[in-house]
Amino acid sequence: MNTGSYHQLEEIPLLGNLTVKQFALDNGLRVAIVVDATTPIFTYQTWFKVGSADEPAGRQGLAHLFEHMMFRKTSRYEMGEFERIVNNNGGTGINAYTSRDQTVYFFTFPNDKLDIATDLEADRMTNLLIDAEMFETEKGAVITEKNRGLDDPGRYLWEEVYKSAYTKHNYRYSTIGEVQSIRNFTVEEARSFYRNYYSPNNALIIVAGDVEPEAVMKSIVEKYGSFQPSPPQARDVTDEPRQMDERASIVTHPKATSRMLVKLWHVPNILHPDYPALASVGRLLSSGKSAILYERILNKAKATEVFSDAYMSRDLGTFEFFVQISAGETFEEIETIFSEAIGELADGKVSEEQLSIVKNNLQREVYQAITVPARLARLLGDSFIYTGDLSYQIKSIREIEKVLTQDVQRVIKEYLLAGKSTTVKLLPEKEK
Amino acid sequence: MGIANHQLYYQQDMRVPMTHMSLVYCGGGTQQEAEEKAGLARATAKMLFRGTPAMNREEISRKFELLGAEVNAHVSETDFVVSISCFTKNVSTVLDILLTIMNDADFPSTELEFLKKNEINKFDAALQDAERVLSAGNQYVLYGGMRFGKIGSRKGIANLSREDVMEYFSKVRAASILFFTSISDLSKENIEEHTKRFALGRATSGFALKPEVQFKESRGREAFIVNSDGATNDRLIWSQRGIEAIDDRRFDLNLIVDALGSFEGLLFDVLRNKNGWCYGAYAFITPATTRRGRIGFYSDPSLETSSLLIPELLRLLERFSTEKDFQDRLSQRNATFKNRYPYQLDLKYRLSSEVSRDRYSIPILGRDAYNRRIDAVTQASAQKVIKEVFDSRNLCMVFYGDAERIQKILSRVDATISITVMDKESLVE
Repeated sequence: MNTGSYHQLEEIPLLGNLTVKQFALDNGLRVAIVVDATTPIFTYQTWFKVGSADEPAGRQGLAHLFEHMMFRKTSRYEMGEFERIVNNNGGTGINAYTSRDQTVYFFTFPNDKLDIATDLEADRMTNLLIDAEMFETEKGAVITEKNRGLDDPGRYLWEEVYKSAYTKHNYRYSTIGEVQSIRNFTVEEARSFYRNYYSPNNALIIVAGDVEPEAVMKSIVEKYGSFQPSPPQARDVTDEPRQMDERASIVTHPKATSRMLVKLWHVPNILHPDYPALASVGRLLSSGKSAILYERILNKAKATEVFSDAYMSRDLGTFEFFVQISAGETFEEIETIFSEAIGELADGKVSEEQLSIVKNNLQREVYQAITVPARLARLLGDSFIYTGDLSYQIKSIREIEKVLTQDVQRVIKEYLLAGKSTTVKLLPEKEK
Repeated sequence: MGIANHQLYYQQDMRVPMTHMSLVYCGGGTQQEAEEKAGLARATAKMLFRGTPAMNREEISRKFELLGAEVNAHVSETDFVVSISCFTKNVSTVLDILLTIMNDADFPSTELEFLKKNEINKFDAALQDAERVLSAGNQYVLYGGMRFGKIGSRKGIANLSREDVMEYFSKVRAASILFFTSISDLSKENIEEHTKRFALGRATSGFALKPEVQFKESRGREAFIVNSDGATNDRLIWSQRGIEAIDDRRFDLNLIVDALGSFEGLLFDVLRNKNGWCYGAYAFITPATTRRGRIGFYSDPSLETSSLLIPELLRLLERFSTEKDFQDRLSQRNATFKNRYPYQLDLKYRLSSEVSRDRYSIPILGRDAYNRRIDAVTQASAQKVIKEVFDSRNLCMVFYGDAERIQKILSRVDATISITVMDKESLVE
């Protein structure tokens, strides 16, 4: 049997002796390894470059439902065997998530269980059996999960925001889908989804912790090396047209007890040279206790939660501002505070101190991520999904450190002041 | 055993040039609050960085963040904790500023009014989160009608004055026991030197650690339903009496609860995998400290499946020990737990184990000793522990959902269950 071979790609320096070693198998599977022997365990994550934005029109929720099926049955293991083997071998943190652009599976194992991890993940990448009865049972669990979300006003608000902000692109749909579409999925659709997207050339494996890179690659080549790549799947999405109008809506929720507000602008995605400056704007506004909106809104008891950020995606990016407003405060007042803050930044009222704080907070977050392998893996995985380059976010941190006041001014003027926003206000139903 | 005053618990981490430290004032937590001032401990923690005569809130935040430091204070039931994370190169300066703030904090009245408003608004925000309401309902019942988490109560917060906060903090600082924890790239000696500025000459006439409140014991099956009309699904936490921290049966109990209620346990398999009635189905242990622990069960059935899941969960709790599927899972747990030993070598885990050893007399076992204890768990010993400890006749059953519907289900399942319906608002009054 041909077990394939692999080649090493550029090594990414992190800090001190810590680096990310990158490899690619001949069948297209990418592997990233971070050696950190502080604790004799390792985290093992499998990232597939497929999410809800890849679903065909009218089939929203398939990627997420399929994620559930990955824990069911393969030609080698009956239902429950996967979890049993993980558990018996000391595996923990077993779970998965689906988002718009990626689906990620992960667990953590003691350092002497490497072959168990590679065996289990390789098995379900190629041997999954999608049984019709199990598929129907799993729909019940997913519908319960969907209903849990309906009880959450914040989740409902964000679903409404994306529905309004995107008119064409699949980012307008929620990842979990709608109850009716979940009920209508067929086993054949799930099988086709598996064949199209769960292939080595559409996946990245990240191993971080107390491992030997040579042993990891030996095990991965042995277990995955013979897998055949599938034809690349072009993402079937319609480009979002430039937003030409201001959009505003008010929604209500029966369980809401606080007002909430979201304002959102379309901005370029993470690959654009303006991304570091946009990320800095988000941090100047709400990252850390001295940030402008933290000080003017949270510390003055005008809200219980506030954030602003440049949100990363594979396609179009967004700049988002969210507030959970205190009783007695008005949407107008909060919007005025936000507009004034943006106006001041656009006028160049940014001190060197403020930019230093942005850099310090970022540096501290990176240090903290480095000491938690699962967090570091997420930083690397997101970069890979959004840009194809594992090191992108780590490199962009250095770019954020170079951001100057005039960069902040320019991106605010170009994207926020000259751009068109989507505003969604959520009211408790009793205030309707 | 016990924690010595000014003891440092330390682990070295050379990976990054960072220092994390905590100052733990034992007995400074919510246990000291009077009922009519519920929320005082947390309010004091949040007020600590809101001003001194020389620095206002903004200047304090800016000073710390310019040094790459994140400094916070929080409370638990027993403790008042000040935590610091900063670049090691700046640790001395950061700690000097912190000491100045702790010496000079003047808890400005205007800031206290902002804080009180914020804390009360957080109740509104929390009441729209079903999981938080369920958890708060459970806590309310188990603690015998006490506060919403650590936030306190609306009345308690409204009652707080600047004088209350000042007096509370002066007693915190003079707590009879202060201990330190740290993970840093600096040496232990170096960190010890840094802690001295908080320890030397410190008064110890303030708060003394009180015994923790024991959880409410159930007499029979008692249901408490936090009513939520129109909830899109039901949620439940049921619990029963557990064991004490150094009870020898804890190893058996850990294996039993894992076989029953982990991701690979009997409950998840029957309720979720085989029937699709819920999203989650777990059993868990609330660890014993100076008080007895608890054994809990969680699930979230849909409106359509709640009437199926509730009786089945009760049936499983009554009879799980006789189910072959459970026994098979249990027989594999010795390997599971022995394989999990490496997680105990994590730096944060080690630090908290050392604190638990001194605080609750829970010994730290080396790998061989730990494996021997796990090997000693057998089907026979576990069955004995199940008989002695598990008690599905005396359950505290907390629900979140439509009270009328849940009441009907419960009365069909077991007419002896006593039912109390609670309003969400009653959790925060």
